[in-house]
Amino acid sequence: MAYEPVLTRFFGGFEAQDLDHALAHGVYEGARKALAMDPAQVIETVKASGLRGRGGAGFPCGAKWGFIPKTDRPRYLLVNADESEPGTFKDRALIERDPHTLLEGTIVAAHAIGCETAYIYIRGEFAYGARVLERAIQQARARGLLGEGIFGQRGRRLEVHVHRGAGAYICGEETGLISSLEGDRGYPKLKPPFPAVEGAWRCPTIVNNVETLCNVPWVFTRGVAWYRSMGTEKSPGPKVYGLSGHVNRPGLYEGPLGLPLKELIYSDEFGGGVPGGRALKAAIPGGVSMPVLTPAEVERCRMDFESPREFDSLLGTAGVICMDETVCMVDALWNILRFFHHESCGQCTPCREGTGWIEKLVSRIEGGEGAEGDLDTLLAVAEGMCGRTICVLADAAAWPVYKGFVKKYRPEFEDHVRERRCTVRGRGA
Amino acid sequence: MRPAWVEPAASNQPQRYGPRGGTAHEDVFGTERTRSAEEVPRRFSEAVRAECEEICGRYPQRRAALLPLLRVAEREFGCVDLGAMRLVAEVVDVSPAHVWGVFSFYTHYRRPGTGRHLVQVCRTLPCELRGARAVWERLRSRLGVGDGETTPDGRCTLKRVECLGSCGTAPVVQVDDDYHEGLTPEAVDRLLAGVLGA
Ligand SMILES: Cc1cc2nc3c(=O)[nH]c(=O)nc-3n(C[C@H](O)[C@H](O)[C@H](O)COP(=O)(O)O)c2cc1C
Ligand code: SF4
Ligand code: FES
Repeated sequence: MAYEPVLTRFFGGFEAQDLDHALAHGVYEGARKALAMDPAQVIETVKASGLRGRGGAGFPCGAKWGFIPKTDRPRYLLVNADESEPGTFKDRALIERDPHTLLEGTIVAAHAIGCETAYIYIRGEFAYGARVLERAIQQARARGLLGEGIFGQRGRRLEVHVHRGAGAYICGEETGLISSLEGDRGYPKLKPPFPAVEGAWRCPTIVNNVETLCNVPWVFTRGVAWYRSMGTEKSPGPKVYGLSGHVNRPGLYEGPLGLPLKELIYSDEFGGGVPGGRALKAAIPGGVSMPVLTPAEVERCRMDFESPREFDSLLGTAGVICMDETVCMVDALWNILRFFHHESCGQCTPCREGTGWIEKLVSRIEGGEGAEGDLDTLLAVAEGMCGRTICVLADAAAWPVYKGFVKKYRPEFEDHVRERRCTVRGRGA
Repeated sequence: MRPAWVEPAASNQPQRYGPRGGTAHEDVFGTERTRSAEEVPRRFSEAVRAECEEICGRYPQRRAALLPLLRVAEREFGCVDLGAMRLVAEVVDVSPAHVWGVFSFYTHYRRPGTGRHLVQVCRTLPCELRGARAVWERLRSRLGVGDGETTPDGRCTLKRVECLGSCGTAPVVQVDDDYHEGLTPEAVDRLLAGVLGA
């Protein structure tokens, strides 16, 4: 069956930045339909579609909206465009090439939760994306799609503001994002209270990923049955997959959720296999926090929210990173741990100290200075970091160690310690 | 003379651990250690003041405008320095210490002493798998400076950063606001010739 791309339909160019082009292709039709329904009905429709959050956790979108309590306090919608999970680069493309669909999804979500002010929190590096969004917002305002009396409905208003971050991975975590938006360090906060109850400025707040909101309009334009015709029972709908690292054709590809990972990497329609006819050594299914898969697991893994669990991993952001046989697993893990050590916000001791400790241990092993017992220390520290911190960054740093690299490639780590040198060629090209 | 309040030179940087070098927060600490440098008083023009008010009006509380106003200061003064932070503190009505505390958390604002162009080289796994190291080596040797350093003519500051969110077109280098993707050492030569006039 030929798959018809929807999320990436404008990825060929930049024309859809223009409102006229977007309107001519039916953008904002979904919002028009949703605004004719009452909020509870909108939430029910999204629940029925089974749409799950694309920001990494796969939380059901409609259920999350349904958590908004009935109060007369203001509510806020925060669009999470902080995209900084290594291996993930879909939101940037969605913003730059299809900003109006994002605004459309934002309008629907705001209507559902009864909010009049939305903020798009975009990472500081995406300066171009921020300009694109600002222009799109201006255009939409000028046509009465945003601002006062949207879609010709008197008394209904929605302001959307772009808020630029300034280089901190942790601001992608929803409570860290809220702290940052409020003008503080991007420190995550303990949950509960969950943002839906007490978020930005202590008001009910929904945080949604860019891709999640880009999915929303389709539920209304094409309907729930269409949406559910793709993917699996528990993970329906289309998905933008990222491919990076050692594949012939890295980039973004759209397909239904539940696509076999093997197909994504090897089929000519997608990744086209590993360059130079080399063998695949490992693949990370969804951003570096997610435990790595061995080639045997790649054979069996499907890209939905359930299948990777079988291999002690998770779908995450579905940004697949491929590594061929020349890659040293110790070196690759060190790179990942350096990232997390750099990005830990430092509030919790297990995370602040743990990320540094495991990075140092792996750095030592890779440099040929690992001692007997280092691997056990490494595993013990990593496991000790989990479930003891304010946010899951600590877990995200520890998983690749004890569920991924060391667990699945232990002999390679042992070789490094025994031979006191790297036993595989250096990383990459 | 080195401009005031720059990142410390490599020699007095904190000892890096491990054979592969370390990570981490030397950027911020380096800035802090040298922050006793002279403070230049800063002011916004009337027009910029009005822009600041518009930005503050987007939020239920003024202090939420802190990050966006640091951006405005960065644009107006070319960097965020102590004078700029004091000014922003006054505009959003918080203490300068609060602004310093927030500013030092974020890595993306331009620090004083940054060259006219800021070259940020991604070093995270997907980029490294596709040759970021060779790109880094070429930039380092062509510019003759290391991580966090500025060329003597003040043209260019070189910095290694984590994932820029463009891994499908790795390796990636960001020069000021622009992304340069799918680079090779040869493409780095062209980039330096074109963008930097070096
Ligand atoms: C350390 C950390 C970093 C995160 N970074 C991002 C991010 O960059 N973008 C994103 O959309 N979600 C990110 N998330 C997930 C968010 O906390 C949140 O679950 C998500 O934005 C919810 O949106 P969704 O329900 O639409 O997926 C991160 C989570 C953690 C723990
Ligand atoms: S787990 Fe790490 S990143 Fe998360 S709040 Fe604690 S110290 Fe910060
Ligand atoms: S790893 Fe370099 S852009 Fe993501």
